[in-house]
Amino acid sequence: MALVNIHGLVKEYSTRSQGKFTAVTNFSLTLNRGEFFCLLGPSGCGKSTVLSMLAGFEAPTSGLIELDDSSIQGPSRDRGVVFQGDDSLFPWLTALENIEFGLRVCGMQKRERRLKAMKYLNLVGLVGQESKYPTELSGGMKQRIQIARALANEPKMLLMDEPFGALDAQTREIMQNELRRIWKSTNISVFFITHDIDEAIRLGTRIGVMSAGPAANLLDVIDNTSPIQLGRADPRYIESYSRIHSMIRGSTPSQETLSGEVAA
Amino acid sequence: MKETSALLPSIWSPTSIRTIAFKCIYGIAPFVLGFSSLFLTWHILSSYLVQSVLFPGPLEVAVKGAELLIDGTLGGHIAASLYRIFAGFLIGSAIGIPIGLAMGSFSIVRRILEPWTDFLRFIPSVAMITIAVIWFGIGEESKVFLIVYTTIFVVILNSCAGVAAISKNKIRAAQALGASRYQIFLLVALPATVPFILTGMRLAMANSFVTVVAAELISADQGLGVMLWNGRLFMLVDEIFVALVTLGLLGFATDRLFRFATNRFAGQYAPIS
Repeated sequence: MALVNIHGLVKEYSTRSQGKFTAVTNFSLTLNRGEFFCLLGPSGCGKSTVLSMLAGFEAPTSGLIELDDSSIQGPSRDRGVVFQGDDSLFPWLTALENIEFGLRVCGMQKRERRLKAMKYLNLVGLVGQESKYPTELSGGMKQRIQIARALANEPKMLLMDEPFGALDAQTREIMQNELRRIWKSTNISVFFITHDIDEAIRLGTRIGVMSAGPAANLLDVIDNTSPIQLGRADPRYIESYSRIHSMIRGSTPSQETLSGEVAA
Repeated sequence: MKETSALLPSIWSPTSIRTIAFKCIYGIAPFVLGFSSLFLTWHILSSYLVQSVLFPGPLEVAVKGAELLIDGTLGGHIAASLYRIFAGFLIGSAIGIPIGLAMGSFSIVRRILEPWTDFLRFIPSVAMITIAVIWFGIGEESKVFLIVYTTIFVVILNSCAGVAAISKNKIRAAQALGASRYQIFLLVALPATVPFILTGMRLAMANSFVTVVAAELISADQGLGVMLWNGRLFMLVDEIFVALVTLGLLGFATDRLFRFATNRFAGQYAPIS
């Protein structure tokens, strides 16, 4: 049932000051079809780098990434991406036209793609907002457009790079519930990046915990059963939270030994 | 209030008349106030402080302007200058936009063309007048050439900067949605750059006014520059002032027109102004 197979992934960057910098090393992971995988780690640990390589925006220095047994060569419509900020939306297009973009570039007829885009606009709860421009919509609504835009292409999986990181706490919680609902109704495989332990427990069916960078890798993968229904006072929630928390803290170097943080 | 506007046609309800009137006053009042204070200051300066035949007031200039407008001389000068400005401005933009886009999109093109643009843009168009007259004569061609010259570099620079300012995530999003390189250029890079192109064109329009006057001062038989030059030759100070005020008003009007047109027709592409 494996959808994605990542094996021995390494990413090095050359920097001006220190020569070669290793962001991610020896990263191996298997993603299953239909699961909601959360990759959790402290900021700067290279989790966005992993997503970037999985999306095909960056090539790994070495290692293997396979989707359905074929190696990934650059970005493609079988992997939908949702970014953190709203700067990936096209501000000159309406919400509906943004959602249609992927269908338009693959040559779908106007009437057909309009119907399909409307279906995904409804799915993400943007009914009545179709003719508004992104600048006229709130942060949460913009992220809904991004999700609908990625889903409209009917990709094999959804890659989400801290999509709710810039939202306020209330909106973030609403969006987390919405995302779980959308995931359940579409059965799509999700690869979700976050630095928020609470978000990972609420959303993921499995949680991968990364060590702090540089030269970060995967510390452990834990199963997370029936997450969002749990209240935050539930013993299982508290158990998962403290377990992950100590795992991350154990891997994070103290401030003195931290030699220059690099944004991933 | 809501009930009345639901029952009556909204335009006739007293509240909406008041709203419309308020909007008109609110929109126009500062504008009128700005212009009248400008002319009032001028009037005070010329009537009470300077008091010289060499500094006519706004009323005398208005009378002279009306006189020249009626006998057709002013109209002829305006038409000659505007024709040169628009011809040069349009040709310059048409050449500059694709060059700027190519420079912004491909670093090899930018590195090849940068010596051209960065060398030539520091030679002011005014400095090119003499050679333009030698090459193209004193007819229309030399002026249009100079305005093309003054337009092109501003437009190139802004178009190029516009391409460079596109956020990486827009391109990445389009790639992940399956767009080809050509589609990314046409459907993402180009629309994202339009506000920068329009800003460049607006700046170029202001430059064109400078250049056209300078060129006409030196060699032309019609145009606002000619009016200024003749004014100096025959000591017609009021005609000089008519030409100066006309330039200010024309510049103001074309700029507003350009802004209106971009907001009206470019919609979401329009730069915030």
